[in-house]
Amino acid sequence: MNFHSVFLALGLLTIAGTLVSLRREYIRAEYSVSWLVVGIILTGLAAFPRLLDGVARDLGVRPEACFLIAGGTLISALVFEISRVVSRLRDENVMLAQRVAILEYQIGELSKDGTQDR
Amino acid sequence: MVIVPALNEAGAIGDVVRSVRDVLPDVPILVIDDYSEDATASIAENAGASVLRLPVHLGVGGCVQTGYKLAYELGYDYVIRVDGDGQHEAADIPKILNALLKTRAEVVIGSRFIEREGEHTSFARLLGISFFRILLRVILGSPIHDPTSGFVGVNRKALQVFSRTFPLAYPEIEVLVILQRKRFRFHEVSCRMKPRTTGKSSITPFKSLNYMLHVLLGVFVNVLRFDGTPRKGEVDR
Repeated sequence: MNFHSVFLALGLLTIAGTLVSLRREYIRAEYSVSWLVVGIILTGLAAFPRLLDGVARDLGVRPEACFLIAGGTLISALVFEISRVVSRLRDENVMLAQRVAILEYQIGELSKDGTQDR
Repeated sequence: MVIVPALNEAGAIGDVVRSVRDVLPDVPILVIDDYSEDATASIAENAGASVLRLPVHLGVGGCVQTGYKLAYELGYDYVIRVDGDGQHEAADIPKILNALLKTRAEVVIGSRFIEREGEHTSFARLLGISFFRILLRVILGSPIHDPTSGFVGVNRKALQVFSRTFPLAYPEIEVLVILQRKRFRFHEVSCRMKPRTTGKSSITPFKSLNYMLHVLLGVFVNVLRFDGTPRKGEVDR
């Protein structure tokens, strides 16, 4: 098994894993897009290794090293995207928790007022 | 309104509420319970405070901001924040309130370094404070004695901003940079600091290092932050 076959298998596995996870509703469609993009790019580069030959020549590295750099860059982009989503969800969670607390407080105050009025 | 953020402060919160009530009998006191595991909320309630219970632990920034949001929605013009561990002297609250009224600064900070040199403050913390004083002197363009003080008064203008945007983890220093970005003024008044009598400080050497790095990053993010488009969650209701 050569280098490209391993990455081809990894790319296909990423696409298949994402599709299965989508079907079983483990991940939401909007968050699956970046995984599918990574899988497709990995598969494409592994299936057509000559795509990176020119870049490898320009960088003065072996095509395999260029492939690893491309894979690493894609994964880094994905991790960054996940951090962005998690940050947004954290902000929204905090906002919701605050809103729930404020509403509960206001309901409590209204109940107190109602009890006093009776 | 006086707001008191509190997490597991069952030993101190009753005295804090009573001491504030003694000084300002007609001012509402709101304790924001940051999902305590002890009886902080019920003790505060029995002592005469209103209690806002957070459904999850948000940390000091999220906790304080909840108080600011409620105060803003209820229409308060001035809010004083007092910590729930009992280290702030309730008798100093009128000083902060008077400074808010007289100086017209948006934020007034109760400082333990103006007349005294940081009594009841550890050496490590003093070092950290000195570092941030120098850094903030450069960023703010004016000196600040006690950038980590949690004894703070804000007016309605600052309340409006803080109810929308407020640092979640370690707010005190980042808030100063937000103030500068908004061209708000701050003023410091000398306040006393009591030693912690109950519970224990959550500050460890590792947490101190984490604090320094986190705050440094927060300061630079706030310096660089673009104000054109609000982030999600900061949109006016």
